[in-house]
Amino acid sequence: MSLSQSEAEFLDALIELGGRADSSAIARKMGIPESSVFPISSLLAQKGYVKITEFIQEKFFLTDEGKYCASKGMPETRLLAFLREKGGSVPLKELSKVLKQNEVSAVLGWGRRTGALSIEKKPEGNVIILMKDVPIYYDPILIKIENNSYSPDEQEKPLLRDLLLRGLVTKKDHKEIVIELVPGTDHDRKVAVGILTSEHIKSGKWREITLRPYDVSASPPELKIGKKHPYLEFLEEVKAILFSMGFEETEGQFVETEFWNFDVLFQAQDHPARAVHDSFQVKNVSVDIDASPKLIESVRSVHESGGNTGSKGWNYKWDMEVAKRPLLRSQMTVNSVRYLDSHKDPPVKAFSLSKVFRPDVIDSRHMIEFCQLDGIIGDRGINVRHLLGILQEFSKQLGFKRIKFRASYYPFTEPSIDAYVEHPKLGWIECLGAGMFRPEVLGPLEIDFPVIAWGIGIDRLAMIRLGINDIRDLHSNDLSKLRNWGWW
Amino acid sequence: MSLIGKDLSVSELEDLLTAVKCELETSNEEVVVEVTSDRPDLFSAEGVSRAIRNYLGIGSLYSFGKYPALPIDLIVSESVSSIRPLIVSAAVRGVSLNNEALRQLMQLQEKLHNTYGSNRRKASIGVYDLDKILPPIVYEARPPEEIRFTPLEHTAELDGREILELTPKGKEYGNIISKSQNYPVLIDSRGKVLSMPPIINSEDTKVSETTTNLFIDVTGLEMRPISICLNIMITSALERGGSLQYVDVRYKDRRLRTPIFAEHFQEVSLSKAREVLGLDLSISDITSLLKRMGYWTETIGDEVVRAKIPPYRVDILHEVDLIEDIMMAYGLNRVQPTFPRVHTIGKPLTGSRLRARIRDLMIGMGFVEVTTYVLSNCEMMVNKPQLPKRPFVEVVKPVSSEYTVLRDRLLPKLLDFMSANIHVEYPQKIFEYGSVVVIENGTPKMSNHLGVVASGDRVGFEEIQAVAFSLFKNLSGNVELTKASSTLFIDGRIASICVNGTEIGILGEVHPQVLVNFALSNPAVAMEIDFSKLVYLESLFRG
Repeated sequence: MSLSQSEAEFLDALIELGGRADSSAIARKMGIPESSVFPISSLLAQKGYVKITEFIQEKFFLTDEGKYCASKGMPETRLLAFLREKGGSVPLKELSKVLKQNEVSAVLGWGRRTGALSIEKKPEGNVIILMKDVPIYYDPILIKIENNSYSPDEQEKPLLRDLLLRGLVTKKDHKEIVIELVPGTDHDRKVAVGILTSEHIKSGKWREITLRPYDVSASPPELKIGKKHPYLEFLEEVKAILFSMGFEETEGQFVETEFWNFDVLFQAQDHPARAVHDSFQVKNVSVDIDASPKLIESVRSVHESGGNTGSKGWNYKWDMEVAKRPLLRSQMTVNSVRYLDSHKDPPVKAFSLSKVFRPDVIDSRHMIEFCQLDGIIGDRGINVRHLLGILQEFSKQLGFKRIKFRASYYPFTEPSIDAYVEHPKLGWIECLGAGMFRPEVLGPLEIDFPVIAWGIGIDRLAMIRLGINDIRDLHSNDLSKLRNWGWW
Repeated sequence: MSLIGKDLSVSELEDLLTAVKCELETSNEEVVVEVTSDRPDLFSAEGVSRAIRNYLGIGSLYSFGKYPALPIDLIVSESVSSIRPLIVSAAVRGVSLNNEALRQLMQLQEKLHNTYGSNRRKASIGVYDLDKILPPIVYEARPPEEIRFTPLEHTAELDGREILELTPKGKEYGNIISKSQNYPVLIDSRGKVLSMPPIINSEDTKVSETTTNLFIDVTGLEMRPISICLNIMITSALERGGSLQYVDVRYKDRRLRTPIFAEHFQEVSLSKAREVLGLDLSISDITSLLKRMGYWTETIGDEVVRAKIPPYRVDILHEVDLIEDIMMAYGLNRVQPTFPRVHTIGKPLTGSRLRARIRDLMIGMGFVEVTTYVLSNCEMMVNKPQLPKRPFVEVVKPVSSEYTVLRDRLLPKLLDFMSANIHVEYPQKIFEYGSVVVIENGTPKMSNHLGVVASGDRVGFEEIQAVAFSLFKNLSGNVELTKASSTLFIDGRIASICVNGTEIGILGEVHPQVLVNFALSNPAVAMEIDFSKLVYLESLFRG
């Protein structure tokens, strides 16, 4: 019968202990917790290598009071010593010098029973008198229990019962198993060795020994390994695709100004998306608008009248104070326009993939903090066909074979397009929004070539890839789930 | 279907809807259509049908009848100027309304309120049976106790204040006017109250299936939203037959004839359309495609097409808006995708290599990576970890008390993570590499931190010390630990981490009180490092 590695090690330890040992001795020998001894030994018993005898043993422990008496002596021991020191009699009220209040009555009871003490009434008060020296057997028992070397003895039973009654000692049932090697089965053990040691190798003894085969189908202990977060790994995979397509990664700040988040993107200041319940305005900070006066002026005029872009504009009074307000960025396109502001020569290809924040009802499909991907390609001669081409290629790289498009609306792009990809089980999934930046966006940034922009709610794709149904599980705080997450 | 003038199957309808920028949501007895917010003209069945009719070439391009009578007078009193100063208005004569038409009209009104009207604050629409009104009409403000009428769907007269306090609409929208001493009202020449904008109309002037003459007003704060709302309401109502009667709105110093259906034109150049769409279009392609989208056009020379913008198309600001319409008429799924040949070098963010290296090393040391939300709350960031009170980037209107501030460090988030996992087998070792936002001189500053926590029966200071030393040894940095203090940690078991002479973090044994605050019963050691100060290490790797 073959053995697992831990079973073989167990038998080796048992042999070294002389073929018979209790569980605690084996645990010490093997350096494993006592709780692990039982499962291994019962497997070995099933295979017929060992016999297990189980018995309950009473174990005794000192209470706090018992520990006190073990170090200071039993109350009666202390009292007798005191009486001897004082010449055989002591006023009752001086007892507190050697006894605690709660010990007095037990000691006097003992004194009466054994005839060791008597109490006499005197004018100055009661006096306690030593009648005869009586031997006291309690102290050695306490010391033995304290040193863990006590084993019950028939003669001492009444004494132990006293100590239990007086609350100096407690007892607990302790389950102990004794494991014995079954005679005969150790025959092959003498020639077969469980563990190959470095001693075997160095001494050349490995040539003489036989290494016993293991039960290779037995389950090993579970390892707690370190591993990366599956959601972040998916994002890394997406980034790798984008690098391979020639995109440069950019990142901005969580806290943006409305200027960059909305105004540069030609979102009118009275646009419903700018209302307080559709983006997170923040307090305690002020954020520099971080734009040239020329850009600010161009944005103002493009909003008010279209500026020199050929647009009619939104026809209202643009307010710098609104533009200055800090907020948590609500989309990643803000990074793309910031990138354009500092890269005015074609070609440009950039993306950013990070967190955005939007107020919403939190449920299995909506979280107020989520990741978004935004990419741009700008060059002379870029047109809508290229926009469709990049969306098609990117979704193909993500594993979606078919894509379809429809016209849509984004305030900062025209034409605007939404794309759907086909999933073998879930059908058509809307996940990409795209378009060509409006002249009202590119004009103020002084970009004189067309730029296509596209964004993905990457969390939706991550959920599909990771096979989860609740968006909050992307940031799961379930450690056992993370430990057990398989391949995806 | 009667509005379209042709029977269509569901799949035909679906394709047509997609072509005119609508999305079919469900189609049982009722067809539910999703529309983008730039196209209020598609907010009702009338508008969607008009778009489909144009696309199919049924009927003629947009036109409407004008009622052969003088405009209705509407006098604006100066008393509204500080409350709700602007009003536009129009009437439709000879309309035929059935139950469905009424429903569409009310639905359109509500959608416009919710979008362009910013929940009635910026624009609110009133619709009346014109036959129950005796013009001229006056728009003025009155003290609430001097306003008395029976509000819509009510049976008794109420005064202005009672309307705000007792009616459902009054409770919902009352705060728009409740701060003013006087409330705006529309009254007719007999002194009958027609409505109290933006709250409610009178029961008297209610529109029903027998109504043939409609009066519509839009009040608000700015001209653009109220004009859009009126144009959309009127053009939709006119789809049910009838003709338009203008209203002369008389302010103290000027007269405005509404609706403002100004003739407005947008030009589109052939070369620009070809450039944007990448399609080989001719000038006649463009005129016929624009016609399908409902535009009357004329060509100017052989390069430019001039389109007349119908009054309901409030989204046309620029020639690119017409180019999108050309694309839609052409059929987006007929456009051949082409991969752009723009050659550039892909490049990760500065700091990516350092981040990748750190994550690998932490994994190598047996730590499980976690990712927690950037949004947090003061209880978690200040009280539980016993950290000093400090300002955070704080959300003005949080949607949940759990998410009110941006985290400025990671350890409280990681301890919170652990407190959600007290029943999972120990020892537990976790880390996060993520962004935090600290306030420096009143300005938010984002940086990348590494947070590490290990917890179990016997973890101690040396363990986290060893992690720090191994980490920096493998990042070619020289780490030095110096005495420090923080109430998050046990006194005497906390140290500052200095690398190459810069102080960048702390490590130590977590204070038992903090463990208790997070409901943890195993000892824990922790470390937090600000790696934005060490991005220069990246250059060492490239060496």
